[in-house]
Amino acid sequence: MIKQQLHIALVEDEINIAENYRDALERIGYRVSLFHNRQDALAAFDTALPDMAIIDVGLQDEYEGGFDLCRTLRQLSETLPIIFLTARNSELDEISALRLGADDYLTKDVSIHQVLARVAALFRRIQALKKPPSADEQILNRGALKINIERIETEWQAQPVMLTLTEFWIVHTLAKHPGQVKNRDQLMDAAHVVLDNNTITTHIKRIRKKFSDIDGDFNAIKTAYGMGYRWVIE
Amino acid sequence: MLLLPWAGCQSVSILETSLRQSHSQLLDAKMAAAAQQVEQQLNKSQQILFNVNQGNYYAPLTDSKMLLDGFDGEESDWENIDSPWFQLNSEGYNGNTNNVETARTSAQNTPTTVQFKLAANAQLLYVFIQTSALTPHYFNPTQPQRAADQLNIRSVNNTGLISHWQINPQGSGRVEMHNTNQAMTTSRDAGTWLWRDGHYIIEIAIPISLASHAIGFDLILNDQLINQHFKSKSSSVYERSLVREQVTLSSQLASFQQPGLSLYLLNSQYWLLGQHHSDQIPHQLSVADDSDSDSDSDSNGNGNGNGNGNGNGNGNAIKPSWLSNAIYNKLFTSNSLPYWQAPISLGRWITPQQLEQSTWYQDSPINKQLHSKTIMVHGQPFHLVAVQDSRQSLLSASAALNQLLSLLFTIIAVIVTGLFTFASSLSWRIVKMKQNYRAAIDNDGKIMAVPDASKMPDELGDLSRVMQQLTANQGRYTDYLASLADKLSHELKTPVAVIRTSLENLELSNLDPQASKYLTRAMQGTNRLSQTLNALSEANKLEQSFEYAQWQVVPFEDMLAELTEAYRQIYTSHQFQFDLDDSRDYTINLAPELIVQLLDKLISNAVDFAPVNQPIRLALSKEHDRLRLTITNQGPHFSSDNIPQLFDSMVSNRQQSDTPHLGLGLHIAKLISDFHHGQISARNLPGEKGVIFELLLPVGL
Repeated sequence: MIKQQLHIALVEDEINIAENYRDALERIGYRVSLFHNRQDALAAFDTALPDMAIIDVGLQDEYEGGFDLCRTLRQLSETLPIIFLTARNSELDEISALRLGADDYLTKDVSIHQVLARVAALFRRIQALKKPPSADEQILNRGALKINIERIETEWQAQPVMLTLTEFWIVHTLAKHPGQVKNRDQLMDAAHVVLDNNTITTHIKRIRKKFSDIDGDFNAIKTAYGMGYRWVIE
Repeated sequence: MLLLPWAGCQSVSILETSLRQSHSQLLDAKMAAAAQQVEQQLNKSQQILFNVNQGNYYAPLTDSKMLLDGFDGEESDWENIDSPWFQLNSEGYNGNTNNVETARTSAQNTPTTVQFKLAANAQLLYVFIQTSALTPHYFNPTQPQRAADQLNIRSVNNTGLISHWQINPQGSGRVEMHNTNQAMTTSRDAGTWLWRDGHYIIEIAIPISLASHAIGFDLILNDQLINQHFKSKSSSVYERSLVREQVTLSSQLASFQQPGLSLYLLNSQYWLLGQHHSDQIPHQLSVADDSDSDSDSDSNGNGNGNGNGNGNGNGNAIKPSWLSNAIYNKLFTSNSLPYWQAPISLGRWITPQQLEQSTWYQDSPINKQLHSKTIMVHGQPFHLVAVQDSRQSLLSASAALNQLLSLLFTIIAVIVTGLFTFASSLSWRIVKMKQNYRAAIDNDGKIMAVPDASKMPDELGDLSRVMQQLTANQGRYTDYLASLADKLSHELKTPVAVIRTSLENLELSNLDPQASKYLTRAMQGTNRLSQTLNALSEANKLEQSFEYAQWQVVPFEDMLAELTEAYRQIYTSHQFQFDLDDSRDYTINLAPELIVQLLDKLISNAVDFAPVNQPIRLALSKEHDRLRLTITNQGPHFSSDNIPQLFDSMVSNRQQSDTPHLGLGLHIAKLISDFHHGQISARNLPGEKGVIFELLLPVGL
């Protein structure tokens, strides 16, 4: 499927889980290296960076070893995609992770299929970014919003909005059919995640925040109470 | 401590008893001396004393000159004189003349009765004679031989001189008295002889110097029989010895006066010869007045002795506290003592047997002691009786008692004040502690802050410290319990993830259909386990999310209308109805995402129970400063005993169902309601079924 044998570093202290993920990823065709603690991972990263890192937050004795590792990795590479895969589902952990520059945050509740989908999506984004811009790119224009689906880039009022993958798909789903209410299930499907309602709310909140940072009057995402959200073009 | 007053009173009581004894001895000694002195003086007087054993007449002392007007009773001279009536008998003398029974017997024999009474002062002997109804026969000087009523009197003075007097009334009015001693007859104004209301009333006066020792009467009436004689004695020498109360004797007794002491001199027949009442102790004035008036009413006033009136002049003296007197009497007046009664009636000692021994008597307000001595004067026994108020002992004991009482009361007051202060401080500390702990624990039993423990080294301080420790432990335990679900879910997640990823890998490898059937079941089980674990940590996550809650001012009715529409789409099998009370302003500041979450829980709960054919009804109204949202469904009643616990974590009154249910839904609703400072409650509707949830949200936030 993916010819160039993309290399994924999986840093996970729980050997069974690590191996299960490795098996699943390898079955698709990725090359996977397993690390069980931060030191081993760092030693390996010193010699060569992988194409993607999937990190658990808690690593053996280090309660937040994953966060430290993420920080170090970000220093080594601005662009290296990093996904957190953890048993922790607190909002605080998620916010911390995304703040540290992780591209995605998945809990261990999600199925392997979703993990695989997210990994693939992330790789696609990276590759799209590497490609020079071309005319036939799929661009979605909704007023001040401009979404490049190929490169997974979002602009508001011609300024880039830094969205995580999940957030990108939520925005994309909403903006594709303006005015139509998308309920939580639809949004979750689009983002390829299984999240509880509260997490969707959190994502919407964070998306609004990111747009508001650019445009203080941002009000395009409306809440339809009890039903979901819709994109409104003013 | 409370035994102190009792012990004090006991000691005062003992003191009082010994005082009483010594007092008795003292009185006895004094009396012995006084008796000797009186005996000597009486013997020295060389008086010839008639033998009074045959009965005698008695004349009490009158201190005033009396009008001989023929009146007695009220407002007359006789009113204040306690003088006994004596009888004159018409027939042979049989016994004691003043024996009332004898008098009655003779009264039956003879329709006409005659009685008289006497009084004496230093100069005159007053005689008051009264007859029963009769027809008067006056002496007519023109017919001297005709039978007429006549009074003859024989008297003997202290020198033995016998005088004979005769009164011949010539009509109702003033009469003259003829001295028929010798051949020579002298006349003098005797007094009054009246015929009033059918009675003879004769009031006359005789010089005491001629009648000091004996007197006798012979009244001759002609009503039914000619010359019927009413005589003191049936013999021709019909005088009887006269016993009278004498000023000289009274003044002799006065020389023995001492406070509270009353002295009486009685003859062998217990007639009162002299009496002396000592001055009242000035500060016992009020008390003494009381007792005097008592005895007045009892005995018609025997108390007109010499000293009596003198004591009343000290009205300005300080009165003792009635309280101490009352206490004194309460404590020391023994009920076993006989009650005191006025001793003299009609000039005579009432109960001679009480003279035989010294006795204490109970009297109000103080006790009396009676003591008597017998003295012999010219071979005849006389009784000298002393009645001593226990005033002196009262005084000393009362002073001691007062001191003791004031000391006791001071001590008790100090102790009581101390105890009261101590108890107040304890109670204050307990109340303070209660308030602290009440403030520290909110309505749901959640510990908000552990109060400071007392530093006092006493038991309450210990209690406070133990309470603090308990509360802190309880708080830690509560926190532990709250985090337990989260921790548990977290710890379980990793093994579940292992199982899930393993199963998923298994799914990806090619399995025969038989095996994949079991795989599917394993996956379903794992998913369910996973959902349960998520639900477990949901409440905890919710509390974290409060920190990021976004408050927004929204029109609540629009929000609800939108939500109702949403619920209609989600739960297609059920009907929803939204009632708006009126078109008032329902704008409210709240965290919409959280409120939606709350309503989701309530609606989800309602949908689970409500029958499909009856609508789930939402109603919004406004009262004062809060909004009231009710959600009603026609589902079965809650079992009434666990309604308050419905909103607690892990409480569910559902039957077993196929979806995992931990009873967290309503708990989450409660958490969100609390976060909005609202109130959420549930109750059964009247009737067979139906339940209502009510949410009250304050507008002013």
